[in-house]
Amino acid sequence: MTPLLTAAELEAIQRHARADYPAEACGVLLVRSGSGEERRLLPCRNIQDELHAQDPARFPRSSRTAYYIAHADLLEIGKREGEGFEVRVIYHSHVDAGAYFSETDRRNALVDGSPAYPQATYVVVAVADGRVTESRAHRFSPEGQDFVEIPFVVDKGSVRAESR
Amino acid sequence: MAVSVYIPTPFRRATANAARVDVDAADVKELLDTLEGRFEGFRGLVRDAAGQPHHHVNLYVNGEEIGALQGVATRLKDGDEVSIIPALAGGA
Repeated sequence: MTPLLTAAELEAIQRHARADYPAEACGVLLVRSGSGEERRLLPCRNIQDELHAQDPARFPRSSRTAYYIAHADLLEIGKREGEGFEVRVIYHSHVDAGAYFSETDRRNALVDGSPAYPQATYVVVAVADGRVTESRAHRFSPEGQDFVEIPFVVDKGSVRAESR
Repeated sequence: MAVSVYIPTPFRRATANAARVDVDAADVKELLDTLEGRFEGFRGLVRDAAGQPHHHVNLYVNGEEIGALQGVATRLKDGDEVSIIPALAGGA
């Protein structure tokens, strides 16, 4: 069974989260299954501050407490999906807060009550004072019809996450 | 006007899993009218009762977000590529 995140991917995500502090970092892991599994980590640009500057009523938060993946990155993800990749992990960081899955995260991960990316695991990385303090994983449970936390097990640097 | 519409994973449940749909439409509004007519499940998914796209849904014509163009009145021409992609967003 392939890991949720390889050691190199986890390190890249945590590096991204530290580098963008005190803004939230965000990105996705795309995986194409086949004879040999192909994995692509796509660190994305958080355009929350631009949206907030343009329309503060609609986007009251800044990048310190929110993320919004840039249009170019959304289109890139769409292009990769068209090539057979699947969105396996959607990650973002929380700044000076825990790695919980917030109500905002939950609301935004649903489209019309169903998970936007049912195969995706949401990884949240907490960064405090520029250092990663914890990482947690969440996935939609079809039984409970809600997102639940799943174990985030680091094994020789790579991450396993099992929902059941 | 034959326009190719890209449907991402989150909306494919409404298009019988089709990732790409060809539509004849002169503008974005007509394109959405056509999609909603063709796929029952599309109704309400992309836009509200007033005909405006939901805040969490982005529409692109040839890679340009329609908010930066003429919104749902954006004209379409033969061969244009339209993408309908929900926002990936969240926060603490």
